[in-house]
Formats: sequence, C-alpha cells, structure tokens
Amino acid sequence: MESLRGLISSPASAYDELVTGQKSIRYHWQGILSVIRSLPGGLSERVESARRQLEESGATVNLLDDRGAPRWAFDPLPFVIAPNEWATLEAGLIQRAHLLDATLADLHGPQHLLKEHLLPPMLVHANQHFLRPVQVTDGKAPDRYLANYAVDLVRLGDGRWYVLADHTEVPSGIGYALEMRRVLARSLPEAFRSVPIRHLRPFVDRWHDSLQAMAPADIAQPNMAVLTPGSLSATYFEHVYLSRMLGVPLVEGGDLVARDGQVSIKTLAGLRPVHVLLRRLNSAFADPLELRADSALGVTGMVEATRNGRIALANALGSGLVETPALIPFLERLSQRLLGRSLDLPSLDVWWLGEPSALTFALANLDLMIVRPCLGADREPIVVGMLEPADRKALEERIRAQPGQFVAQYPMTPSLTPKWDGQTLAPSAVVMRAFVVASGDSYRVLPGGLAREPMGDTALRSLGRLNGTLKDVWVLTEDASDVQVPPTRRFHQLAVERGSADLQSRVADNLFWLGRYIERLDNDARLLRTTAIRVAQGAMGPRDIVELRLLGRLLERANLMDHTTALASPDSAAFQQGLAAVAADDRGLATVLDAIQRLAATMRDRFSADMTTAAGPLMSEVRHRLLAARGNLDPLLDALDEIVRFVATLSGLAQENMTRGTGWRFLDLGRRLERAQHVLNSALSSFAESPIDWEAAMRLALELCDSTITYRTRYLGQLQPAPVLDLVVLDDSNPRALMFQLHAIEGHLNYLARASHVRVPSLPLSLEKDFEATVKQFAGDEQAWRHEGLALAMLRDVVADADQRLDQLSEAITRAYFSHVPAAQAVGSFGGG
Amino acid sequence: MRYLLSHRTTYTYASTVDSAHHIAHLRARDFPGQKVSSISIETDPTPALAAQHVDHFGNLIDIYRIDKPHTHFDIEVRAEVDVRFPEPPPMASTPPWEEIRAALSGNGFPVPVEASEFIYDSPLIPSVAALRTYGAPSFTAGRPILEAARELTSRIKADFEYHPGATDISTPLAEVFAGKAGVCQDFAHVEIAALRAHGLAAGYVSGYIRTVHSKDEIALRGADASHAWVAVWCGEQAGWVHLDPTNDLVAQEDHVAVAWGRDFSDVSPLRGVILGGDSHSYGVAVTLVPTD
Repeated sequence: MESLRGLISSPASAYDELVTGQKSIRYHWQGILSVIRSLPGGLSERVESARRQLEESGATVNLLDDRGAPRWAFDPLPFVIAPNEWATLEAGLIQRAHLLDATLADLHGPQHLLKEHLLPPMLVHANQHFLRPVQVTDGKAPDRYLANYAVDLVRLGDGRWYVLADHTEVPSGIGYALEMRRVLARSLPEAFRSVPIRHLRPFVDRWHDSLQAMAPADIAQPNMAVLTPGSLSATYFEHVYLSRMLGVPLVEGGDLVARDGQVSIKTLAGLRPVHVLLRRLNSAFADPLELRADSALGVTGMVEATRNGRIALANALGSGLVETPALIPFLERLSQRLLGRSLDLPSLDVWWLGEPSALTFALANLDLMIVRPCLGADREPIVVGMLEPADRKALEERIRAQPGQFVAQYPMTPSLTPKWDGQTLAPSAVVMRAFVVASGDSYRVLPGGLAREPMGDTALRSLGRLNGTLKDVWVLTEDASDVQVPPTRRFHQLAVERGSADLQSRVADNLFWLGRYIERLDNDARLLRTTAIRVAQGAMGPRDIVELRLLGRLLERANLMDHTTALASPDSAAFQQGLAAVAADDRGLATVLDAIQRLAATMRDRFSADMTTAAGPLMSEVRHRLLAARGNLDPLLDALDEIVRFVATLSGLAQENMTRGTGWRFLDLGRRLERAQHVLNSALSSFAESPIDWEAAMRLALELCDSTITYRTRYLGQLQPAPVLDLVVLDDSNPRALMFQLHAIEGHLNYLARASHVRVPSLPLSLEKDFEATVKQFAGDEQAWRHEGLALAMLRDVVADADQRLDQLSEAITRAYFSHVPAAQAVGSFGGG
Repeated sequence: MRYLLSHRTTYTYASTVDSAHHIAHLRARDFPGQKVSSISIETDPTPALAAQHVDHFGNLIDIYRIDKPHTHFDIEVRAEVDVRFPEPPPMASTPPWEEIRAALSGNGFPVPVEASEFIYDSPLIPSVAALRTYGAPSFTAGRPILEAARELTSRIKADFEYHPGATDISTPLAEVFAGKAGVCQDFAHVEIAALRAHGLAAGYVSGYIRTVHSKDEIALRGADASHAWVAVWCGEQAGWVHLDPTNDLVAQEDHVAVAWGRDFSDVSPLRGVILGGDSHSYGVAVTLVPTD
C-alpha cells in the first residue's frame, strides 16, 4: 500500500510550477512573490480578510444556514500562468470546445460518427446522458450544443498540460472563480497594481452578449434567465451569482410555463416570454412530459419548445453526452473527421475497456490502475490497488461482465505549485479548471479560472467536485493595454422601468410569507418577553398572577407553551420551567425561524449583498442563544432580546436597501397583515375575557403593542380604555396600531393594482368607522364603561369581524397574485395486454 | 390481411383539470411487412397545440396541449392497415446465435449499428442474472438463432401464467420473473431480457392482436386493449423476426404493430402531465376488424 501511495503522488517526477530545473524562480512568479515579500503585515492578515469576505458573500458557506459546513477552503496565493503558455492552452481549449460541440451535433443528428465506425455506438446508446427525445429527427437543431464548458487540466512531469475531465452538462465553477477574483482584488490590491494580470470583467460582458445572440433571430430584445434546480442545489451560490453578474432573472422550473411552443416566466403581470436560458438544471430533469417523468424541477413541454426553435438553452439539452471519459481514446479520430485537424490539447491516456485489446491490457495491469464506470449515473473512480481482495475480485467480475461500462487509466502526478499554509509557502498538487463560452462562431476562454489542490489520494478521486483548497488563476499579459478594462459592452437600449410587475409569482408568494413570518417571530418574541420578565422578577403580586394567566393562554394559542403549563399557576415551578423550555422546543420559535431561513435561502437573489451579509450571522447568533438558553430564564431573556434586535435589523435593512417595488410591497404586505392580526388576536384578546380584568387588559394591550411609553408620555400613566384603545387601534401615527397596518395594506393593494392590473378588493371603509364608533363608546365616565356591557360587546364584534376580513384578504391576495397552480401529476403509463 | 382499427382512450377526472400535456405513441407506422394506408386521430377537447413528430426509433408521436379547464380527455385513432409480416426463414437456415452476438459486439464497433442499440440494458429491462440463467438452456453451442429464440418463446409461454392484475407497469422485472405471472408486456420484457443477456438484440413492439378468428377457434390471448411482443435480430438475411411469447407464435397476419423501442417506456401509448384533476380513471376500447 505504501509503495502505491508513493507511485500516485511521487513528487520526484512532478513538474514544479515555481522553480526551474536550475533552481531559479520562474519569471512569471517573480511579480507576485515580490509583492508578498513587501507586505508590511505579511500574507496572514490578508488571508483572514479574504476568508471573511468569502464567508460573508455566502460562497464558502451556504448562507443563512448555520448548519452548513464550508464547502471549500481558500488559498490567497494565486496560480500564475505566463502569457505565451496561456495562448497555447487557450487555442487548445477552443479547438476542443468546437470538437465537442460538433460531436454533440452529430450524435443528436445524423450520427455519422457511429455509422463510420469512428466512435463505438455503445458510448451513445448505453450512455445515461443520451436522451432519445432530444435527438433531432424532424425539429430544429440547436445552433449550438455547447455554449459553455469547463475543463479540468493537469500539467504532468513533461511540462505539458493534459485534459483530466470535460464538464459539459452543467459546467460549474465560473461563479466561484469570479467571486474569488473579486475578493482577492480587495484583500491584495498591491498585487493587482504591480502585476500585469488579465481582467475577467470584459469576458463576462461578452458572455452576456453571446447568450443574447443565441435567441431566435426574429426577437429584437430577447429575454434571458438563469434556470436553477433551486436553493437546495450545491452550487446555488453560483446560480445567484451568475444571474446578478449577467443581470438576468434567476428562475426555477416552477416559474416557467410552456405554451404555444414558447416558454414564459409567470409574473405578477402575466406571462413574459423568455428566449435564452442559461441552464443549470440537468437535462434529464428539464421536462416531465418527455424526459424524466418524476422530475418536479422542469417545465412540461420544454423539449417541444426547443424543437420549435423558440427558446435556446445554454447548454442544449443532452449536452452531458460527451462528458464520458470513454470518449477520450477516440477524440483524435473525431477531430480529424469533424475539424479536419489533429487535436492540439492532449488528454490523459484513457482506455475504454469495450475494446478487447484495451480490456486485456487493463486486466493485466489492473492493480496499478484507476477504473471508472463511464456510462451510468455512478462515475466514481476506483483506485484498484487500494481495494480489499474481495472487492477487487468483485470489480474484476463486473468489468468482465460489462467491459464497455468501464474505462481505466494510470494515476497521474499533477504539478506542484506554492500554497500558503498559514506560515509559509509550501508545494501542493494543482488541478486547474478553465472555462470556455461560445462567442459568435467561435469560443472564448476566461483569462483566469479555478486552481484546486485536489482532495484525497489522487486528483481523480475528486473529479468534478468543487472541493479541496481553491485558488485564483492569474493569467499574465505582456500587453499593458490589456490590463485596462476595455469598454467592450455594446449598450442595448432598455425601456425605463420602475416597480416592475415582472416579479415572478413564486417570488412574490415567498416574500409575502417571509414578511408574515418575520413579523410572527417578532410578535412571539415580544409575547414571551412580556411573560418572562414578570416571572423573572420573582415575588408576584395578585396583579402579576392575573396577567400571567392571560399571557399563558396567549402563549398556548401561539404554540409557545403546552396546555398543562398554561393552566399551571404562574407562581408555580411548573409554569416557570414550561416557559423556560420554550427555547429548547421544536415547536413555536424554532418553526418560525426555520420558515424564515428556508424562505430567505430561496430568495438570496432578491436581497442585496449587504442584507444577506448582515442577516446571516445574526440568524446564527439567535439560534445559538436559544440553544444556550435551554431551561433558564435569564439567558432566554437575552435570546428574546436578540430576536427583537434581529427583526429590527432586518426591518431596517429592508427599509433602507430595497426599492419600493413590487417585491418590497409583498414583503411589507405580509408584515402588515400579520401585525394587524397580532393586535386583534393578542393585544386585544384580554378584552374578550369574561369576566374582564380591566387593568390587566389595558396594560397588556399597551405592552404587546409596544406602546406603554407613548401612553405614559401622553396620559401620565392613568389607564382608561378610550385612550388605550385610541392608541393601539385608531392612532395611525402609531406604527404598532391597527389602523396604521390597515392604511399601509390599502396603500400596497393600490400600488399592486396599478403595477400589475390585477386588483384585490380592499377592506371595507366601514371597518374603520366601526372601530371609531366602538372606541367612542368607552369615552364616558368610569361607572359607565366599567359596567356598560354594550361597549365591550361592540368591541368583541368588530375585532372578530376585522380578523375574519383579514383572513379573507390574505386568501384573495394568494388567489390573485401567487397563481397557485394545482400540483402537476402524471397520467397514463398503463400497458397493454 | 387488411384491418380496420379503432383505439379509443378516455380519461375521466374527479375534478377539473386546468391544463394538460399529452404525448401519444398511437399512430401506427409502416414496418417491413406492414403498410398503413390511412390513419387519423381525433381528440376531445380540441387541443390548443397538436404537433406530430418522428421519434428516435422512427415511430410517429403526437403531442397535445389542452389549455382550457376540462374534466375528460378522449383520444381516438382510426386506421386502415395491411399486414403480412414476412414469412420467417427456415429456422435451421439462420446463423448460429454466437455469430450474431459476435457481429453485434464487434469489439466495440458492432454491425449493424442500428440493431446493436437493442443489446443494452434499458430503463425497464436492467440486467437480471436470473434471466440469463433462465435463457441459457435455449442457447446451446452453435444453435441457429431463430431456433433458439423460438424455443425460448415457447418456454416462456409454458412457464409463465397469463394473469392480468398480477403486475402493473411499475413492477420490476426481477419481481415479474420471480412471480412467473403477468401480461403481454411482462412476457415481452422477460424474453427481451433473456435475449439481451446472451448479447442479442431484442426490441419491444407495441400493437394489437386479432383475438378471435371464428367461433370455432380458440381465442388468442392478449387483449381487448393493446398487445406487445418481441422483435429479435436474426442477422442481415432474416432481419427482425417478430415473436409473441404471450401466444407462442411468430407474428404474421394476426398482429398489427404501432411502434417499437427498447422497452415499454419508449413506446408508452399515452402519457401526460396534468394540472389538477385529483384522481383519474381511464377506459380503453380497441376494435380490430379484418376486412378481407
């Protein structure tokens, strides 16, 4: 075993990126090294700053998910490539992209390559990525199959670059490369001033234009979007990033609908056609009608829409077909046939075991080789020499039974590049991922990329995964003008828009519920705090007991206290323990926090970077404190304070950072509705008790509406129902009062009706009048309101009426704007006799 | 033999369906030995979109989209078809099965490419070791392929019970084999699996069978609905020979083919995605009337 390990990563034969055979530092590394030497505080503090930025942007950690672990580590030391070397690589990569694109076109069309015996048909016919419904029989063929492409490269001992793997289905990583560059430019600005590094921004601008150019020819102003499988995807960060970078919406399958051979986005204002999709959803999941029927992520009718040529996908459906390593032994022949040229950029030697000579060879050398299944879903490499004898035997049997399902190759020794190990520079193996995108008739290569120190025993082990230690790739230039950012972007005339109704219905729905849940969290925290403060004071008077009984009932209704505890005497240990247990409870607060986290995660693309940066750590802090508070009142109070602060921060951020467009309207609409119902159901609930305890009812109403101080200022602490009700119900200058919410709701509904031309009926004007009339009833002298049942009865009626109307309004909003389509289901699939 | 065919499928939904997409493999096509002289499909409600395509296997597919709310979907195909599948060559004249296997393997470059597509696993027919073992006794050394395949067909008819309801389309092949019972598609899948396990090319043919010849004759098994059988590659000379394991015979004049593929999933007569509808029920009515 030990000897094998030596063979796999024998540094003796590895190419040294930094130092020549004559032990001198290669020229292209000298710039960065001298920058590092001259840093006053050394590299370490820059590393820290870069790490923090990456964490905050959500690239390293799944944002707002305090359970997520970092997916990768970051090395501040870039991988540097000399200009002439890059030029050679670039040409080779472009040629390879052309070749794979032409191969895809042939295999999805006439299949000359199979008929002419240039490619074993099994690599197509038995390949899981060959989607027969996508094959062009009579529809329109895509102009481009491969519109973007990622390639993993290694440099071997001979100093040449070799292709390790092609990523053609959903080529991930470019978003991480761009983000890493942004962070590095901020944390190591000296280097960017003194080292002639090629910039990435012009590439992104041209990418945008190339994508736009893929649209059907008759569309003057094509609409584009990034199609993501959703926020659970491991590379969701990148989907959000690309949508922002390219300035196009991020959509899920559920946001799209195929009609009349056209794919459209469901928005508040109806269907908006989309012409180009940067596809980050696997092909097989793209259409439950013609592809995987069990896919809930796709668009029914997508395949038919592509046949009509009304939508272009980047990449085209089925592009994963050429990802198989089994293609590699045949690429030279394909290149001769399809491009009329020899392949410039070599691949690592790979043997496809479907050929008897390859099989014999591989079986004879099996213990020294790495074997990979190459056609099914599982393509994990197997290092044969590391297998237990029984497993090795089983593998050999599998290979003999279906040799064509496997490839074999030798382990390789990647080149060594310096990395920052925290103290000093140390050599580490490096695999580089390069990115290629279509541009007009040809391709362009990102002048940069992702370098990775592969995890595990061999680079092959982590093929295709973005894990390990990642670093930026610096392509140097000799042409100083290239360092300047050239204004390459052609500006398209855009119609000026405000408060667009293009918001996806799904997003509006999520924002509305996010608003409701944030408000619910605030209400719950305040209710708990009101209770906990009284309990924590110790010695309770009869008044405290009465109020705590009322609060116990409210807590039970809010799912924050169980029935037994709520019934216990407030001065009993049971009540106190039950209250303290709320932090450890899976119901109540945890449910609301989960909902907020889930909704926020699905809408990362809607919030500014500052918002997500601030909210993420706060959310973690809240959860942390709740956990710490288990069973103890004082830390619980701290945690509740933290929640109230968290909500206040979110509110402030939303207030200051979100445009008052349709998105913000839905968020705020949700909050106002929730808060209005809080006033009705919590703050005013003690007025519905029979018999009523006036003091307690008034005090709690003020406290739960956070209006105690205002009241004291206005009325010097003397409690009377008319002024209390005026402050918590009628006073629309009080942001906690009912009327403030109702007026805000009215404003939002009017705005949305104008923006989307869809109107939801407002709350009746009579509701406000009823409340005014009711409060007036309490204006008499004390004898009158204390004993007058009429005023209380009126209050109870109008509260119940308002609550019911708000429920109806919420449903009306849902129906009008959120297009809750019934669940899709598959029909048919019955067989014959 | 000339047939008049009518095949009607009706979905009835428990509640309103807002919109629906359907894809149909119902339009019978020409095969060697089969000529479709006229064919038409009608649907109710009238779809907003109706598109026709040729699929990867040369079958005719119809794609429909219905936009308006509806509570049922009716689709009826009517066709006039002439069938006389070519008389199979004398079994002894067909090449040894190993020779066919060798050509289809071709050390990675099989001949012919078109037939080789049918030697691999497919979505509903994975490799099942027990099926290789089951098929093996028929494939003795040097045996002519059609003789071997024909015997396999007879054995399946003898060993499996025709039992509607014993399986449904989601029953895995290994389970079908263990239960030794099923309907035509199970019989076909079993035979295909046993043939492919021996490196041979076998396809799944969907279609219809004439169940009654006259009052005196025993009705052929299969159904009032649709039927399915197997096409096995017997070399360039004999081509694809259609074998019906449900009835233990070589298809000649009693079978009308609609489409073929690697297994049922490639040629499912009608499937769709609907929005709404809650539960649904369906009814199928097929008539196949000889006009000669």
